[in-house]
Amino acid sequence: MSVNLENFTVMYGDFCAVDHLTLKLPDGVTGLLGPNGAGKSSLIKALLGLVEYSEGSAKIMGNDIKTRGKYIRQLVGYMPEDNCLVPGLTGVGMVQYAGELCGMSRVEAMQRAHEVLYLVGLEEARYRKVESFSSGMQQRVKLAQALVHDPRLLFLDEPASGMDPKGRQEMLDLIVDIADKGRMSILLATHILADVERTCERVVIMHRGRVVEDSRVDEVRKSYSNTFSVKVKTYVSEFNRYLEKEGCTVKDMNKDVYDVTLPEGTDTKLILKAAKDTGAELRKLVPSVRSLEDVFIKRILEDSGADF
Amino acid sequence: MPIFNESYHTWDGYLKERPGTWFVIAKTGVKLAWTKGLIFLLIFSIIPFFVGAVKIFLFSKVQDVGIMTPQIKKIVEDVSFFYDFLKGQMFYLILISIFTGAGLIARDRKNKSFGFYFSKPVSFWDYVAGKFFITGAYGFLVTGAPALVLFIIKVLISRDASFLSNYYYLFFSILGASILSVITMSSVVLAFSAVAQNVRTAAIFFFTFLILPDILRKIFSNVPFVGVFSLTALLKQAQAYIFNVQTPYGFSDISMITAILLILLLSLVILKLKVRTTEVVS
Repeated sequence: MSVNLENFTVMYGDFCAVDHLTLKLPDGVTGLLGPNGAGKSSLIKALLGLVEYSEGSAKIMGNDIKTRGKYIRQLVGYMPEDNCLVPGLTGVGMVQYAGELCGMSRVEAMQRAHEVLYLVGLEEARYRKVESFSSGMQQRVKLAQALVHDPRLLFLDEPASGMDPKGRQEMLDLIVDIADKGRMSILLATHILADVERTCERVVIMHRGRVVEDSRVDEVRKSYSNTFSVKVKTYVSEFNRYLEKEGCTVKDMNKDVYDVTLPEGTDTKLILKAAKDTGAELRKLVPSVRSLEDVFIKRILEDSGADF
Repeated sequence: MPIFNESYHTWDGYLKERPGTWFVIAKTGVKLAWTKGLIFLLIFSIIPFFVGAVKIFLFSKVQDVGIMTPQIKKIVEDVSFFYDFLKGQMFYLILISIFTGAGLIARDRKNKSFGFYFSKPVSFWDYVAGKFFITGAYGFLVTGAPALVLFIIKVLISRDASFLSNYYYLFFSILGASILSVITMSSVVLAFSAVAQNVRTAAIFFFTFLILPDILRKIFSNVPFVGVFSLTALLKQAQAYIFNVQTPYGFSDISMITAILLILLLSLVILKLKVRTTEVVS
Protein backbone atom coordinates (compact mmCIF):
# COMPACT_ATOMS: atom_id res chain seq x y z
CA MET A 1 0.00 0.00 0.00
CA SER A 2 1.67 3.24 -1.09
CA VAL A 3 -0.64 5.75 0.57
CA ASN A 4 -3.03 5.18 3.43
CA LEU A 5 -5.25 8.01 4.67
CA GLU A 6 -7.50 7.98 7.72
CA ASN A 7 -9.95 10.81 8.21
CA PHE A 8 -7.37 13.12 6.61
CA THR A 9 -8.42 16.76 6.66
CA VAL A 10 -6.79 19.93 5.37
CA MET A 11 -8.30 23.28 6.33
CA TYR A 12 -7.43 26.72 5.00
CA GLY A 13 -8.99 28.85 7.70
CA ASP A 14 -12.68 28.00 7.52
CA PHE A 15 -12.39 26.43 4.08
CA CYS A 16 -12.07 22.67 4.02
CA ALA A 17 -9.75 21.73 1.13
CA VAL A 18 -9.57 18.02 1.96
CA ASP A 19 -12.60 16.79 3.82
CA HIS A 20 -12.09 13.84 6.20
CA LEU A 21 -10.61 11.62 3.54
CA THR A 22 -10.22 7.91 4.21
CA LEU A 23 -8.47 6.30 1.31
CA LYS A 24 -6.11 3.45 0.54
CA LEU A 25 -4.04 3.77 -2.61
CA PRO A 26 -2.40 0.56 -3.72
CA ASP A 27 0.89 0.37 -5.63
CA GLY A 28 0.65 1.24 -9.32
CA VAL A 29 -0.45 4.31 -11.22
CA THR A 30 -3.38 6.18 -9.71
CA GLY A 31 -5.02 9.21 -11.22
CA LEU A 32 -6.27 11.86 -8.84
CA LEU A 33 -8.95 13.50 -10.88
CA GLY A 34 -11.05 16.51 -10.11
CA PRO A 35 -11.98 19.99 -11.23
CA ASN A 36 -9.91 22.98 -10.12
CA GLY A 37 -10.24 23.48 -6.39
CA ALA A 38 -11.18 19.86 -5.71
CA GLY A 39 -8.31 19.48 -3.25
CA LYS A 40 -5.89 17.39 -5.34
CA SER A 41 -2.83 19.63 -4.95
CA SER A 42 -3.66 20.31 -1.30
CA LEU A 43 -3.75 16.58 -0.64
CA ILE A 44 -0.36 16.00 -2.27
CA LYS A 45 1.21 19.00 -0.54
CA ALA A 46 -0.17 17.90 2.81
CA LEU A 47 1.27 14.41 2.29
CA LEU A 48 4.67 15.98 1.66
CA GLY A 49 4.40 18.31 4.63
CA LEU A 50 4.20 21.41 2.43
CA VAL A 51 0.74 22.18 3.81
CA GLU A 52 -0.28 21.47 7.38
CA TYR A 53 -3.12 19.01 7.84
CA SER A 54 -5.55 19.61 10.62
CA GLU A 55 -7.02 16.21 11.38
CA GLY A 56 -6.55 12.51 10.80
CA SER A 57 -3.46 10.57 9.87
CA ALA A 58 -1.59 9.52 6.74
CA LYS A 59 1.00 6.90 6.03
CA ILE A 60 3.21 6.69 2.97
CA MET A 61 4.74 3.28 2.42
CA GLY A 62 4.01 2.50 6.05
CA ASN A 63 5.66 5.67 7.38
CA ASP A 64 3.60 8.19 9.32
CA ILE A 65 3.92 11.60 7.71
CA LYS A 66 3.87 13.25 11.12
CA THR A 67 6.92 11.48 12.51
CA ARG A 68 8.83 10.36 9.42
CA GLY A 69 8.38 13.38 7.17
CA LYS A 70 12.04 13.83 6.27
CA TYR A 71 12.49 10.14 5.45
CA ILE A 72 9.32 10.13 3.34
CA ARG A 73 10.52 13.13 1.36
CA GLN A 74 13.68 11.21 0.56
CA LEU A 75 11.68 8.31 -0.86
CA VAL A 76 9.20 10.43 -2.77
CA GLY A 77 9.62 12.39 -5.98
CA TYR A 78 7.45 15.47 -6.44
CA MET A 79 6.77 17.34 -9.62
CA PRO A 80 4.92 20.46 -8.50
CA GLU A 81 2.44 22.45 -10.52
CA ASP A 82 4.24 25.72 -9.73
CA ASN A 83 7.41 26.75 -11.51
CA CYS A 84 9.64 26.11 -8.54
CA LEU A 85 13.01 26.21 -10.26
CA VAL A 86 16.26 27.61 -8.93
CA PRO A 87 17.34 30.40 -11.29
CA GLY A 88 21.00 30.54 -12.24
CA LEU A 89 21.34 26.78 -12.43
CA THR A 90 21.61 24.90 -15.70
CA GLY A 91 19.22 22.05 -16.44
CA VAL A 92 21.79 19.46 -15.45
CA GLY A 93 22.86 21.51 -12.44
CA MET A 94 19.28 21.76 -11.22
CA VAL A 95 18.68 18.00 -11.49
CA GLN A 96 22.01 17.19 -9.87
CA TYR A 97 21.18 19.63 -7.07
CA ALA A 98 17.87 17.83 -6.49
CA GLY A 99 19.67 14.48 -6.40
CA GLU A 100 22.25 15.69 -3.90
CA LEU A 101 19.54 17.17 -1.68
CA CYS A 102 17.87 13.75 -1.66
CA GLY A 103 21.05 12.10 -0.44
CA MET A 104 22.87 11.06 -3.60
CA SER A 105 26.61 11.56 -3.85
CA ARG A 106 27.79 14.38 -6.13
CA VAL A 107 29.16 12.05 -8.81
CA GLU A 108 26.15 9.75 -8.84
CA ALA A 109 23.76 12.69 -8.89
CA MET A 110 25.58 14.13 -11.90
CA GLN A 111 25.56 10.82 -13.83
CA ARG A 112 21.91 10.24 -13.06
CA ALA A 113 21.03 13.85 -13.96
CA HIS A 114 22.37 13.32 -17.48
CA GLU A 115 20.45 10.06 -17.74
CA VAL A 116 17.07 11.47 -16.70
CA LEU A 117 17.50 14.61 -18.79
CA TYR A 118 18.09 12.31 -21.74
CA LEU A 119 14.93 10.46 -20.82
CA VAL A 120 12.78 13.60 -20.65
CA GLY A 121 14.17 14.85 -23.95
CA LEU A 122 16.34 17.69 -22.68
CA GLU A 123 19.69 16.28 -23.71
CA GLU A 124 20.32 19.22 -26.07
CA ALA A 125 19.28 21.90 -23.60
CA ARG A 126 20.79 20.50 -20.43
CA TYR A 127 23.54 23.14 -20.21
CA ARG A 128 21.14 26.03 -20.63
CA LYS A 129 20.00 28.04 -17.62
CA VAL A 130 16.58 26.87 -16.37
CA GLU A 131 15.12 30.38 -16.49
CA SER A 132 15.65 30.42 -20.25
CA PHE A 133 13.54 27.26 -20.70
CA SER A 134 10.11 27.38 -22.31
CA SER A 135 7.18 26.25 -20.16
CA GLY A 136 7.23 22.82 -21.79
CA MET A 137 10.94 22.44 -21.05
CA GLN A 138 10.39 23.59 -17.50
CA GLN A 139 7.79 20.85 -17.08
CA ARG A 140 10.33 18.32 -18.32
CA VAL A 141 13.09 19.53 -16.02
CA LYS A 142 10.62 19.44 -13.14
CA LEU A 143 9.91 15.81 -13.96
CA ALA A 144 13.63 15.07 -14.24
CA GLN A 145 14.38 16.54 -10.79
CA ALA A 146 11.57 14.41 -9.34
CA LEU A 147 12.97 11.25 -10.94
CA VAL A 148 16.67 11.72 -10.33
CA HIS A 149 16.86 9.65 -7.14
CA ASP A 150 14.59 6.91 -8.52
CA PRO A 151 11.84 7.46 -5.93
CA ARG A 152 9.53 4.73 -4.66
CA LEU A 153 6.53 7.00 -5.05
CA LEU A 154 6.13 9.80 -7.56
CA PHE A 155 3.67 12.66 -7.12
CA LEU A 156 2.89 14.42 -10.38
CA ASP A 157 0.81 17.57 -10.08
CA GLU A 158 -0.64 18.56 -13.45
CA PRO A 159 2.41 17.23 -15.33
CA ALA A 160 1.20 18.16 -18.80
CA SER A 161 -0.05 21.65 -18.06
CA GLY A 162 1.36 24.39 -20.27
CA MET A 163 2.63 21.92 -22.87
CA ASP A 164 1.79 21.87 -26.55
CA PRO A 165 -0.13 18.81 -27.86
CA LYS A 166 3.06 17.05 -29.00
CA GLY A 167 4.83 17.75 -25.74
CA ARG A 168 1.78 16.61 -23.80
CA GLN A 169 1.71 13.39 -25.74
CA GLU A 170 5.40 12.81 -25.03
CA MET A 171 4.95 13.56 -21.36
CA LEU A 172 2.13 11.01 -21.08
CA ASP A 173 4.19 8.43 -22.99
CA LEU A 174 7.00 9.09 -20.58
CA ILE A 175 4.75 8.53 -17.57
CA VAL A 176 3.54 5.24 -19.06
CA ASP A 177 7.17 4.24 -19.69
CA ILE A 178 8.23 5.14 -16.14
CA ALA A 179 5.32 3.14 -14.77
CA ASP A 180 6.25 0.15 -16.94
CA LYS A 181 10.01 0.14 -16.53
CA GLY A 182 10.39 1.69 -13.09
CA ARG A 183 9.47 0.19 -9.75
CA MET A 184 7.68 3.22 -8.43
CA SER A 185 4.05 3.95 -7.73
CA ILE A 186 2.69 7.10 -9.29
CA LEU A 187 -0.02 9.47 -8.09
CA LEU A 188 -1.02 11.72 -10.97
CA ALA A 189 -3.14 14.74 -10.07
CA THR A 190 -4.89 16.29 -13.03
CA HIS A 191 -8.15 17.76 -14.21
CA ILE A 192 -7.58 16.35 -17.70
CA LEU A 193 -9.53 13.13 -17.97
CA ALA A 194 -7.80 11.87 -21.06
CA ASP A 195 -4.48 11.88 -19.19
CA VAL A 196 -5.87 9.56 -16.55
CA GLU A 197 -7.53 7.27 -19.09
CA ARG A 198 -4.24 7.06 -20.94
CA THR A 199 -1.86 6.47 -18.07
CA CYS A 200 -3.63 5.18 -14.96
CA GLU A 201 -4.83 1.83 -13.74
CA ARG A 202 -6.85 3.36 -10.97
CA VAL A 203 -8.80 6.57 -10.61
CA VAL A 204 -9.80 8.58 -7.57
CA ILE A 205 -12.25 11.33 -8.44
CA MET A 206 -12.27 14.20 -5.98
CA HIS A 207 -14.79 16.97 -5.64
CA ARG A 208 -14.94 19.62 -2.94
CA GLY A 209 -12.28 17.80 -0.95
CA ARG A 210 -14.15 14.50 -0.94
CA VAL A 211 -13.68 11.29 -2.88
CA VAL A 212 -16.66 10.64 -5.13
CA GLU A 213 -15.23 7.66 -7.00
CA ASP A 214 -12.39 5.28 -6.20
CA SER A 215 -11.94 2.24 -8.39
CA ARG A 216 -10.02 0.76 -11.28
CA VAL A 217 -10.39 2.70 -14.54
CA ASP A 218 -11.68 -0.36 -16.43
CA GLU A 219 -14.16 -1.14 -13.65
CA VAL A 220 -15.50 2.40 -13.76
CA ARG A 221 -16.07 2.12 -17.47
CA LYS A 222 -17.55 -1.34 -17.12
CA SER A 223 -19.94 -0.32 -14.34
CA TYR A 224 -21.49 2.21 -16.66
CA SER A 225 -21.33 0.11 -19.81
CA ASN A 226 -24.74 -1.43 -19.21
CA THR A 227 -26.50 1.91 -19.06
CA PHE A 228 -28.16 3.29 -22.18
CA SER A 229 -29.75 6.56 -23.01
CA VAL A 230 -33.15 5.92 -24.57
CA LYS A 231 -35.57 8.38 -26.15
CA VAL A 232 -39.14 7.17 -26.69
CA LYS A 233 -42.41 8.64 -27.94
CA THR A 234 -45.84 7.18 -27.36
CA TYR A 235 -46.64 4.45 -24.85
CA VAL A 236 -43.84 5.74 -22.72
CA SER A 237 -45.25 4.56 -19.37
CA GLU A 238 -46.00 1.09 -20.77
CA PHE A 239 -42.46 0.92 -22.14
CA ASN A 240 -40.93 1.91 -18.80
CA ARG A 241 -43.14 -0.49 -16.84
CA TYR A 242 -42.16 -3.31 -19.21
CA LEU A 243 -38.45 -2.66 -18.68
CA GLU A 244 -38.79 -2.38 -14.89
CA LYS A 245 -40.69 -5.67 -14.90
CA GLU A 246 -37.71 -7.21 -16.71
CA GLY A 247 -35.34 -5.98 -13.97
CA CYS A 248 -34.08 -2.77 -15.57
CA THR A 249 -33.56 0.49 -13.71
CA VAL A 250 -35.16 3.38 -15.53
CA LYS A 251 -34.23 6.94 -14.66
CA ASP A 252 -36.07 9.93 -16.08
CA MET A 253 -33.40 12.27 -17.38
CA ASN A 254 -35.13 14.87 -19.50
CA LYS A 255 -38.04 15.19 -21.91
CA ASP A 256 -38.72 11.63 -23.08
CA VAL A 257 -35.09 10.67 -22.42
CA TYR A 258 -34.41 7.87 -19.95
CA ASP A 259 -31.28 6.22 -18.63
CA VAL A 260 -31.91 2.49 -18.70
CA THR A 261 -29.54 0.23 -16.79
CA LEU A 262 -29.89 -3.35 -17.96
CA PRO A 263 -29.60 -6.31 -15.59
CA GLU A 264 -26.60 -8.68 -15.84
CA GLY A 265 -26.71 -11.04 -18.82
CA THR A 266 -28.97 -8.91 -20.97
CA ASP A 267 -28.24 -6.55 -23.81
CA THR A 268 -29.93 -3.91 -25.93
CA LYS A 269 -32.18 -6.54 -27.50
CA LEU A 270 -34.28 -6.27 -24.34
CA ILE A 271 -34.93 -2.57 -24.98
CA LEU A 272 -35.77 -3.24 -28.62
CA LYS A 273 -38.14 -6.01 -27.55
CA ALA A 274 -39.78 -3.71 -24.99
CA ALA A 275 -40.37 -1.10 -27.68
CA LYS A 276 -41.78 -3.68 -30.07
CA ASP A 277 -44.06 -5.29 -27.47
CA THR A 278 -45.45 -2.02 -26.08
CA GLY A 279 -45.61 -0.22 -29.41
CA ALA A 280 -43.41 2.59 -28.15
CA GLU A 281 -41.62 4.64 -30.77
CA LEU A 282 -37.89 4.31 -30.11
CA ARG A 283 -36.10 7.47 -31.29
CA LYS A 284 -32.65 7.01 -29.70
CA LEU A 285 -30.63 4.20 -28.18
CA VAL A 286 -27.00 5.01 -27.29
CA PRO A 287 -24.63 4.04 -24.47
CA SER A 288 -25.23 6.48 -21.64
CA VAL A 289 -21.61 6.62 -20.56
CA ARG A 290 -18.96 6.35 -23.21
CA SER A 291 -15.75 7.35 -21.45
CA LEU A 292 -14.24 8.26 -18.14
CA GLU A 293 -15.14 11.83 -18.94
CA ASP A 294 -18.81 10.95 -18.81
CA VAL A 295 -18.31 9.15 -15.52
CA PHE A 296 -16.42 12.13 -14.20
CA ILE A 297 -19.09 14.62 -15.18
CA LYS A 298 -21.82 12.34 -13.92
CA ARG A 299 -20.16 11.82 -10.53
CA ILE A 300 -19.36 15.51 -10.12
CA LEU A 301 -22.91 16.47 -11.00
CA GLU A 302 -24.29 13.85 -8.65
CA ASP A 303 -22.05 15.17 -5.88
CA SER A 304 -23.18 18.71 -6.60
CA GLY A 305 -26.79 17.54 -6.33
CA ALA A 306 -27.51 18.98 -9.76
CA ASP A 307 -30.50 17.86 -11.75
CA PHE A 308 -29.29 16.11 -14.87
CA MET B 1 20.58 -3.27 -30.31
CA PRO B 2 20.64 0.47 -29.70
CA ILE B 3 23.68 1.82 -27.88
CA PHE B 4 21.40 3.75 -25.59
CA ASN B 5 17.92 2.75 -24.58
CA GLU B 6 15.92 5.90 -23.89
CA SER B 7 13.51 4.05 -21.66
CA TYR B 8 13.47 4.64 -17.95
CA HIS B 9 16.28 3.01 -15.98
CA THR B 10 16.11 2.32 -12.31
CA TRP B 11 18.96 3.43 -10.08
CA ASP B 12 20.44 1.02 -7.60
CA GLY B 13 22.51 3.43 -5.60
CA TYR B 14 22.17 4.21 -1.94
CA LEU B 15 20.54 7.38 -0.62
CA LYS B 16 22.44 8.70 2.37
CA GLU B 17 20.37 10.07 5.23
CA ARG B 18 22.74 12.99 5.47
CA PRO B 19 22.59 15.50 8.28
CA GLY B 20 24.49 17.99 6.14
CA THR B 21 21.90 18.85 3.52
CA TRP B 22 22.70 22.46 4.39
CA PHE B 23 26.16 21.94 2.94
CA VAL B 24 24.71 21.00 -0.47
CA ILE B 25 22.71 24.26 -0.43
CA ALA B 26 25.78 26.20 0.71
CA LYS B 27 28.08 24.64 -1.89
CA THR B 28 25.67 25.28 -4.75
CA GLY B 29 24.97 28.82 -3.53
CA VAL B 30 28.67 29.66 -3.27
CA LYS B 31 29.13 28.48 -6.87
CA LEU B 32 26.09 30.42 -8.08
CA ALA B 33 27.25 33.62 -6.39
CA TRP B 34 30.65 33.41 -8.12
CA THR B 35 30.00 35.97 -10.82
CA LYS B 36 32.07 38.63 -12.56
CA GLY B 37 30.71 41.36 -10.29
CA LEU B 38 31.67 39.45 -7.19
CA ILE B 39 35.16 38.78 -8.51
CA PHE B 40 35.68 42.53 -9.09
CA LEU B 41 34.43 43.26 -5.60
CA LEU B 42 36.77 40.67 -4.12
CA ILE B 43 39.69 42.14 -6.05
CA PHE B 44 38.90 45.62 -4.67
CA SER B 45 38.48 44.27 -1.18
CA ILE B 46 41.91 42.71 -1.30
CA ILE B 47 43.69 46.05 -1.90
CA PRO B 48 43.82 46.94 1.85
CA PHE B 49 45.27 43.49 2.45
CA PHE B 50 48.15 44.18 0.07
CA VAL B 51 48.69 47.59 1.64
CA GLY B 52 48.81 45.91 5.07
CA ALA B 53 51.21 43.25 3.82
CA VAL B 54 53.54 45.91 2.38
CA LYS B 55 53.41 47.80 5.68
CA ILE B 56 54.41 44.67 7.57
CA PHE B 57 57.23 43.97 5.11
CA LEU B 58 58.55 47.54 5.28
CA PHE B 59 58.30 47.47 9.05
CA SER B 60 60.49 44.39 9.19
CA LYS B 61 63.06 46.08 6.92
CA VAL B 62 63.07 49.21 9.10
CA GLN B 63 63.53 46.94 12.07
CA ASP B 64 66.49 45.31 10.33
CA VAL B 65 68.30 48.58 9.77
CA GLY B 66 67.56 49.64 13.32
CA ILE B 67 65.87 52.98 12.75
CA MET B 68 62.71 52.07 14.62
CA THR B 69 60.89 54.98 16.19
CA PRO B 70 57.75 54.75 18.34
CA GLN B 71 55.77 56.35 15.49
CA ILE B 72 56.82 53.71 12.96
CA LYS B 73 56.32 50.95 15.47
CA LYS B 74 52.77 52.11 16.07
CA ILE B 75 51.88 51.49 12.42
CA VAL B 76 52.12 47.70 12.53
CA GLU B 77 53.38 46.43 15.83
CA ASP B 78 50.31 47.52 17.72
CA VAL B 79 47.11 45.51 18.23
CA SER B 80 45.30 48.41 16.63
CA PHE B 81 46.85 47.53 13.24
CA PHE B 82 44.61 44.45 13.01
CA TYR B 83 41.68 46.20 14.63
CA ASP B 84 41.95 49.07 12.12
CA PHE B 85 42.25 46.59 9.27
CA LEU B 86 39.03 44.80 10.29
CA LYS B 87 37.26 48.12 10.88
CA GLY B 88 38.22 49.20 7.37
CA GLN B 89 37.02 45.92 5.88
CA MET B 90 33.52 46.57 7.28
CA PHE B 91 32.77 48.57 4.12
CA TYR B 92 33.57 45.55 1.92
CA LEU B 93 31.66 43.26 4.26
CA ILE B 94 28.56 45.40 3.70
CA LEU B 95 29.02 45.33 -0.08
CA ILE B 96 29.66 41.58 -0.12
CA SER B 97 26.64 40.96 2.11
CA ILE B 98 24.42 42.93 -0.27
CA PHE B 99 25.93 41.31 -3.33
CA THR B 100 25.73 37.72 -2.16
CA GLY B 101 22.93 37.80 0.41
CA ALA B 102 20.20 40.18 -0.76
CA GLY B 103 18.85 37.80 -3.38
CA LEU B 104 19.37 34.50 -1.60
CA ILE B 105 15.89 34.11 -0.15
CA ALA B 106 14.15 36.86 -2.14
CA ARG B 107 14.83 34.99 -5.39
CA ASP B 108 13.54 31.73 -3.93
CA ARG B 109 10.37 33.48 -2.78
CA LYS B 110 9.89 35.09 -6.17
CA ASN B 111 10.40 31.80 -8.03
CA LYS B 112 8.39 29.79 -5.49
CA SER B 113 11.45 27.62 -4.93
CA PHE B 114 10.50 26.76 -1.36
CA GLY B 115 8.41 23.94 -2.82
CA PHE B 116 11.54 22.57 -4.48
CA TYR B 117 13.58 22.60 -1.29
CA PHE B 118 11.01 21.54 1.24
CA SER B 119 9.60 18.67 -0.82
CA LYS B 120 13.06 17.16 -0.35
CA PRO B 121 14.61 16.11 2.95
CA VAL B 122 15.53 19.70 3.76
CA SER B 123 14.52 21.32 7.05
CA PHE B 124 14.16 25.01 7.89
CA TRP B 125 17.52 24.90 9.66
CA ASP B 126 19.22 23.18 6.70
CA TYR B 127 17.89 25.84 4.37
CA VAL B 128 18.80 28.82 6.56
CA ALA B 129 22.21 27.40 7.50
CA GLY B 130 22.97 26.76 3.83
CA LYS B 131 22.02 30.29 2.79
CA PHE B 132 23.80 31.74 5.79
CA PHE B 133 27.00 29.93 4.89
CA ILE B 134 27.00 31.47 1.40
CA THR B 135 27.05 35.07 2.66
CA GLY B 136 29.15 34.13 5.66
CA ALA B 137 31.83 32.43 3.58
CA TYR B 138 32.27 35.41 1.27
CA GLY B 139 32.03 37.78 4.23
CA PHE B 140 34.82 35.94 5.99
CA LEU B 141 36.84 36.00 2.81
CA VAL B 142 37.04 39.83 2.98
CA THR B 143 37.40 40.17 6.77
CA GLY B 144 38.77 37.28 8.82
CA ALA B 145 40.71 35.47 6.10
CA PRO B 146 42.94 38.41 5.00
CA ALA B 147 43.39 39.55 8.60
CA LEU B 148 44.53 36.07 9.61
CA VAL B 149 46.88 35.89 6.64
CA LEU B 150 48.35 39.26 7.67
CA PHE B 151 48.84 37.89 11.16
CA ILE B 152 50.61 34.81 9.78
CA ILE B 153 52.78 36.99 7.52
CA LYS B 154 53.66 39.10 10.52
CA VAL B 155 54.60 35.99 12.52
CA LEU B 156 56.67 34.53 9.68
CA ILE B 157 58.48 37.76 8.90
CA SER B 158 59.40 38.47 12.52
CA ARG B 159 63.02 37.86 13.39
CA ASP B 160 62.15 36.02 16.59
CA ALA B 161 59.16 34.54 18.38
CA SER B 162 58.58 37.60 20.52
CA PHE B 163 55.66 38.84 18.42
CA LEU B 164 53.93 35.46 18.59
CA SER B 165 54.50 35.05 22.31
CA ASN B 166 53.32 38.61 23.04
CA TYR B 167 50.41 38.75 20.65
CA TYR B 168 49.29 35.12 20.11
CA TYR B 169 45.82 36.08 21.39
CA LEU B 170 45.44 38.33 18.34
CA PHE B 171 44.73 35.22 16.27
CA PHE B 172 41.63 34.55 18.37
CA SER B 173 40.68 38.23 18.52
CA ILE B 174 40.76 38.42 14.71
CA LEU B 175 38.77 35.22 14.44
CA GLY B 176 36.21 36.29 17.06
CA ALA B 177 35.77 39.84 15.77
CA SER B 178 35.40 38.81 12.14
CA ILE B 179 33.06 35.90 12.90
CA LEU B 180 30.84 38.16 15.01
CA SER B 181 30.69 40.78 12.23
CA VAL B 182 30.01 38.17 9.56
CA ILE B 183 27.31 36.37 11.57
CA THR B 184 25.51 39.60 12.42
CA MET B 185 25.73 41.07 8.94
CA SER B 186 24.67 37.80 7.26
CA SER B 187 21.72 37.36 9.60
CA VAL B 188 20.46 40.86 8.91
CA VAL B 189 20.87 40.66 5.15
CA LEU B 190 19.11 37.28 5.06
CA ALA B 191 16.26 38.66 7.14
CA PHE B 192 15.81 41.50 4.66
CA SER B 193 16.09 39.06 1.79
CA ALA B 194 13.31 37.00 3.36
CA VAL B 195 11.09 40.07 3.74
CA ALA B 196 11.50 41.29 0.16
CA GLN B 197 10.38 39.54 -2.99
CA ASN B 198 13.17 40.84 -5.17
CA VAL B 199 16.87 41.48 -4.87
CA ARG B 200 16.73 45.23 -5.35
CA THR B 201 14.16 45.81 -2.60
CA ALA B 202 16.12 43.63 -0.19
CA ALA B 203 19.32 45.54 -0.98
CA ILE B 204 17.60 48.91 -0.50
CA PHE B 205 16.07 47.79 2.82
CA PHE B 206 19.42 46.53 4.06
CA PHE B 207 21.31 49.61 2.96
CA THR B 208 18.73 51.92 4.55
CA PHE B 209 18.94 49.91 7.76
CA LEU B 210 22.69 50.51 7.82
CA ILE B 211 22.79 54.12 6.68
CA LEU B 212 19.80 55.74 8.42
CA PRO B 213 20.88 55.01 12.03
CA ASP B 214 24.40 56.13 11.12
CA ILE B 215 23.05 59.47 9.92
CA LEU B 216 21.00 59.78 13.13
CA ARG B 217 24.09 58.93 15.16
CA LYS B 218 25.96 61.77 13.50
CA ILE B 219 23.09 64.24 13.95
CA PHE B 220 22.69 63.33 17.63
CA SER B 221 26.39 62.99 18.30
CA ASN B 222 25.92 64.45 21.79
CA VAL B 223 23.63 61.53 22.71
CA PRO B 224 25.96 58.48 22.71
CA PHE B 225 23.13 55.98 23.20
CA VAL B 226 21.81 56.68 19.67
CA GLY B 227 24.83 54.69 18.42
CA VAL B 228 23.16 51.53 19.71
CA PHE B 229 20.73 51.72 16.78
CA SER B 230 23.54 51.68 14.23
CA LEU B 231 24.67 48.19 13.23
CA THR B 232 28.06 49.36 11.97
CA ALA B 233 28.68 51.31 15.19
CA LEU B 234 27.69 48.26 17.22
CA LEU B 235 30.05 46.01 15.30
CA LYS B 236 32.96 48.46 15.48
CA GLN B 237 32.36 48.79 19.21
CA ALA B 238 32.26 44.99 19.54
CA GLN B 239 35.50 44.63 17.59
CA ALA B 240 37.17 47.21 19.84
CA TYR B 241 35.90 45.28 22.84
CA ILE B 242 37.31 42.01 21.51
CA PHE B 243 40.70 43.58 20.64
CA ASN B 244 40.70 45.30 24.01
CA VAL B 245 41.37 48.74 22.51
CA GLN B 246 39.73 52.10 23.23
CA THR B 247 36.03 51.78 22.26
CA PRO B 248 35.05 54.36 19.63
CA TYR B 249 31.51 55.14 20.85
CA GLY B 250 30.09 56.27 24.13
CA PHE B 251 27.50 53.57 24.79
CA SER B 252 28.14 50.80 27.28
CA ASP B 253 29.32 47.28 26.51
CA ILE B 254 26.15 45.82 28.00
CA SER B 255 24.03 47.94 25.63
CA MET B 256 26.22 46.80 22.74
CA ILE B 257 25.92 43.09 23.59
CA THR B 258 22.17 43.38 24.22
CA ALA B 259 21.60 45.25 20.95
CA ILE B 260 23.59 42.71 18.90
CA LEU B 261 21.76 39.79 20.51
CA LEU B 262 18.42 41.51 19.86
CA ILE B 263 19.33 42.05 16.20
CA LEU B 264 20.29 38.38 15.83
CA LEU B 265 17.10 37.26 17.55
CA LEU B 266 14.93 39.56 15.46
CA SER B 267 16.59 38.32 12.26
CA LEU B 268 15.91 34.74 13.27
CA VAL B 269 12.27 35.53 14.08
CA ILE B 270 11.86 37.17 10.65
CA LEU B 271 13.47 34.19 8.94
CA LYS B 272 11.23 31.79 10.86
CA LEU B 273 8.15 33.79 9.86
CA LYS B 274 9.06 34.25 6.22
CA VAL B 275 10.82 31.01 5.31
CA ARG B 276 7.83 28.73 5.67
CA THR B 277 8.35 25.04 5.17
CA THR B 278 4.58 24.86 4.91
CA GLU B 279 2.50 27.08 2.67
CA VAL B 280 0.20 29.63 4.20
CA VAL B 281 -2.99 29.84 2.18
CA SER B 282 -5.34 32.64 3.03
